[in-house]
Amino acid sequence: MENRIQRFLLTAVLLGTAATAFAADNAVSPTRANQVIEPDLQRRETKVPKIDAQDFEVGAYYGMLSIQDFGSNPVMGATLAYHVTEDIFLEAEYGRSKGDKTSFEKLSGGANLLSDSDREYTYYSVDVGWNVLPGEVFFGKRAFNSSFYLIGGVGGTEFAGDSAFTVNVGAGFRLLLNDWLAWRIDARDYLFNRNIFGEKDHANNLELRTGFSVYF
Amino acid sequence: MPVAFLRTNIITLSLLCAAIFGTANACADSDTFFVRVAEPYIELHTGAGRGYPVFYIAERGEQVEVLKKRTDWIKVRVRKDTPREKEGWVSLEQMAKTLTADGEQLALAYPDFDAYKKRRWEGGLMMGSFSGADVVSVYGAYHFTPNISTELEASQYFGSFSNGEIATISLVHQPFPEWRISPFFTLGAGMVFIDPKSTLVQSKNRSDEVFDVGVGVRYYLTRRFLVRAQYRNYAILTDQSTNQNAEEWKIGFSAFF
Repeated sequence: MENRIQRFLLTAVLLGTAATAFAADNAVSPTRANQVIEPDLQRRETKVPKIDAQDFEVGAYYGMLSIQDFGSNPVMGATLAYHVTEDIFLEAEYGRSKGDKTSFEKLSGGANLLSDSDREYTYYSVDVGWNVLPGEVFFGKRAFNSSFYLIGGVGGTEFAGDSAFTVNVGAGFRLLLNDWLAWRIDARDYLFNRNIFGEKDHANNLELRTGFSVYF
Repeated sequence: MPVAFLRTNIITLSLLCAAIFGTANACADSDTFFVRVAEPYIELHTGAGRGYPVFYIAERGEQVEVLKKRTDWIKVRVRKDTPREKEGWVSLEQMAKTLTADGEQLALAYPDFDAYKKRRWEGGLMMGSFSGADVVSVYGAYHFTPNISTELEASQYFGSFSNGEIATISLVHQPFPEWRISPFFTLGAGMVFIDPKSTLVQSKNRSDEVFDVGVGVRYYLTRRFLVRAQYRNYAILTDQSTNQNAEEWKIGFSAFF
């Protein structure tokens, strides 16, 4: 009896699996029937290599910075720019200089308003530049690409033991010696409020500088 | 002697010039490939910009070697290894109509609103007010999906009583990335470094942890540009008995790539 039940169940299971297998086969067969010829071709995967993008420009500069009341002093710094389009670039810059003595300190003889470390002048800014006049300039028979740009931005200035929010505006000229090397001249004005002499006043520091930059 | 000295100098100078002007593309040869001009012609400019003059026209069917890219311009070389070899810059629009080796149009990522929606990296600068103090910020963002991104931001503020720096990392959710004007929400954590003005009595530098929530809006301008404005509310976890709150408003200019 037990044996008969076992045989019945086994047959049922076997039939069941066969049926599902058949059904599955049926489900597949229409697509197989449609595809009369098996395509025997390998798609050629040609991958276009990535084009080397050179949108960044790194540079170093040297020049003169007129620190209001503290004389004109050498300044040096570095810039990093990202060229977003042919017209617009974003640039970060960092520069260092050192304030000289004020005329009062020079005339009075001994009195020092600031310690030596407080005379260290550092600034940074993040700027937006606009290549407003692109063109060519000629030197002898050679033509060089150039652009005259307007630039401005915001940043900070650290001087006399204090730091101040600084706005800068200026203009510059970039001469491309080749595809990756440029010579630049910049004129900038750095404007900020300060409180060195006991009352708030407005500092207007002009800078004239030149430098080289490399595209990468 | 002076003549010899002069000659050496001239040789050195000319070598330097050759190094600077001559072999500019010596290192650019590694990843170049060729495309074919499919339109009647493409224009080669002397520099990467529409302001630089066209000096050569490559005709239909001509092989063009792609060298490098700057902003929306591609540097190419034509008639390689012939006396009439030329190198110049072609605009992305014209290059997009050239054909690759397998006859397909050269796929170039053109910076438009579609590219903006698929952007991965974004960076920019902002300025505004942090608790009444002037603040300058730079930030960089990486977009995991069109909705979710992470941002690193560094700020410096200049106040009447203190100056300081803030550095935060944030998680940003943008619910409607397909909108041209699209709001976003931020949740962040970081550090604030406070440097009280030396003229004040209690002048001691300190650094505190901060947490912030914020809301903002991005506006896609054109090409690679967007304008961004945001508000943040900081909770500064001081070691005094109460925590401080600070509000910050900023507006800025960004680019994506």
